[in-house]
Amino acid sequence: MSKSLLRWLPDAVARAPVSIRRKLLLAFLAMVGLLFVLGAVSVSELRHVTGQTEALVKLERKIAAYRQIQHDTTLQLYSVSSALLVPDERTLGSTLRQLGQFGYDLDRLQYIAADEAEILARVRVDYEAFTTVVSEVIELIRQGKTADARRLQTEKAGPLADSLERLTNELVNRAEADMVARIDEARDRFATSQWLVIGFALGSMFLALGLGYAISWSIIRPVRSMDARFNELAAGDFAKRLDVPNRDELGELAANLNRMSADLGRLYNQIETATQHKSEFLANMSHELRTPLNAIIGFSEVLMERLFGELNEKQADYLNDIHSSGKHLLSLINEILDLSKIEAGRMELERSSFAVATTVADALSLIRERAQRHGIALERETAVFEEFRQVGRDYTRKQEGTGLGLTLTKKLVELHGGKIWLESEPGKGSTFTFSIPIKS
Amino acid sequence: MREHARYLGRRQFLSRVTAMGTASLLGLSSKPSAAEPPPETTTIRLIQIPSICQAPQYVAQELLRGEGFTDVQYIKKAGARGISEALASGEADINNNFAGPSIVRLEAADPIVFLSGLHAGCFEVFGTDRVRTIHDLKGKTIAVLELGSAQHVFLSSIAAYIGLDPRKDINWVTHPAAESMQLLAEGKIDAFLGFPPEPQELRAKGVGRVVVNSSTDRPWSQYFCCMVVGNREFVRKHPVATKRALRAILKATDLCAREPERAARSLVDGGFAPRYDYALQTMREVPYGKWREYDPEDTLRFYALRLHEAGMIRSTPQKLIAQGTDWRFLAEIKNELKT
Repeated sequence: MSKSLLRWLPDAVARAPVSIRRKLLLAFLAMVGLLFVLGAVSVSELRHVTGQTEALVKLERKIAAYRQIQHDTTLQLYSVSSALLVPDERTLGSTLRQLGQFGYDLDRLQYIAADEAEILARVRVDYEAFTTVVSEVIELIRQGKTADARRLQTEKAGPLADSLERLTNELVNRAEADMVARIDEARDRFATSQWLVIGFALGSMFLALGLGYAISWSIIRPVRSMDARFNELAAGDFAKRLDVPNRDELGELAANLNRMSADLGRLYNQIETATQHKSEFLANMSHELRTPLNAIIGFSEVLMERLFGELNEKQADYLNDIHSSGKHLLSLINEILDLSKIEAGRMELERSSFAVATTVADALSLIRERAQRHGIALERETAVFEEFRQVGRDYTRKQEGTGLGLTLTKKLVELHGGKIWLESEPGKGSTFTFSIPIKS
Repeated sequence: MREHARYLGRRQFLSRVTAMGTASLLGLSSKPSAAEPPPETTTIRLIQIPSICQAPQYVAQELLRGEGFTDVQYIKKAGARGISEALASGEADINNNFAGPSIVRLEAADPIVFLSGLHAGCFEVFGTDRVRTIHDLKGKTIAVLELGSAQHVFLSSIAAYIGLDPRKDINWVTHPAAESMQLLAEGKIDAFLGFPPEPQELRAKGVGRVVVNSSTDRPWSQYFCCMVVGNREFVRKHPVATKRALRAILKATDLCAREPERAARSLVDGGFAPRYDYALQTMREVPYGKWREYDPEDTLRFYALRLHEAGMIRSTPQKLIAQGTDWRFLAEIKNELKT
């Protein structure tokens, strides 16, 4: 499954009918898009967190205001109790001032917690009643009716303070419950955001890896195929066709390669045919040339042996020239004939026994002096095996031979399934080495 | 085990006479309201546990009959867990239950619904000389009936309120209440939370010191400790019966506040309390007369916050209130029973 997916992805990208440049551009845009979304999500979450923090701060303010009202209530009761114990004007004045402070804090509460209108209305009612009762208690104290004041405080002020406390408790609890809900919501939101961010990060990562993998292999695979195809072409295989799924520049390149391969194949066939015709022509020509040449050499030898009478010195010189020229020409024709036979595939090998050492010694005696004398520059080493090429230090000087010896040698070695190579240094001589299989 | 009130024994007779007489005296007529249809069912099933802070529902026996329930059943259970289980399973229809444990059960998706507050201030925390404040409970041993019991839940809330982690900072041991009181007397445990008549008994015997008295100590004194809870299906199917039952219980609550002696006598005669003196003390000490003043929803909110702090629930107060309360009947009854 995963293997087929790994194969399918690059193929799908390769088949996409857009250029490589656009593919890369789209891949980058996709990643940039994901990063943008990730950034947007993060910013949104940050904004939400900020909003939650502000809401929590508001709730904290509310709770502080509620607690202040609770504190005021307790303080008021304490002040009234103090006034009952120490009924001087200063204590009474302080108690009345605290009533004013209570009202101030209540106004603050209505400003801070405007959304709790229903409970605040009840708080306000209780507060009005409480201030009325406390004022009455203070008035009774001023009048010296301490017992009545104490009774009024116990029976009315105390329960009203309790009621106020419960109302403010309710406000506190509501605010705390809101905080708990918001914190839970924030926790849930954080968990969601966390997975969202992780998801986006993983998504971006997998997208980057996936696109990188798919795009790179959609390029590398056809390039490798083309490289292999070039090697095959170099080896002379023009028959195969390169099949790549790409519909981009590489697809066009592969199509061009296939066209070039076909063209080269056709040209190769034409050249091969022409070479074969050339070889056949040379073989025929050599044969036709050898017949009169044999007559020339034969008759010149008869004349040189004085079978038809004495020759003067000049005639003998001319005959000698005719004979040596004929021999040279025959040798040349024989080599051309052998080469043509090999190229035309008409040279057949025959197995027979011979003395390798004697043959090698004979060959060495023929070529040692020349091989030691001549050295060949490195860049020309391959040229010595080409037809009609003679390589030496003095290229202007007329060379001996036909320039076909080493060509024939190479072809014969290769005909045996072997190979020949050369190590040479100008001025120091050359070493020719060949290897042929013992059995083939 | 069920006790069906099918015939009157001597005690039942006296109890009914006492309750009917008291109700008449208080103007709490036991006749069903003429404007209301009769209850959808004439059977009402409540629970009886050893704690007598639930006195109103025991005292309400005759008032329930007056509301049209001809078959009033009290199913005996060992403690608050029994109440929760019976209400959730539908074995009981309506009952008083402790606020904290009921919230825990509500979050656990028990099909229950809060209908009203009943009273505040029934529990007291007793400690040895080693425990003078709640903070001293850190690292101490506390006996409860079982983990998840009313004692455990309330004490966890109280500890969490000052920042203790009840799961780590307190060594909980489980014993029956009577055994726990004995262990406290012997100094083998450090603290114990009792419901009436246990605090009365401990005080009478001079065992331990009161660390928290929920009838006077803030913030606990400002909230209901016990609330009326109904089986959700019963409430849904029998709204008239629910309202009538609740009204009877709340009338009985007034009765407990105004006539503690009669209420205590009724409890003893009805077989709900073994000792008159402890029952009377309970009637006098528990502020039964404040059910109109306290806000049951805020009690739920307060305890939900405390249990949330203690890590015993995860739901928000808003969610619990939304899913498990029905104050319609209370609002109507408050209007009807204005004093």
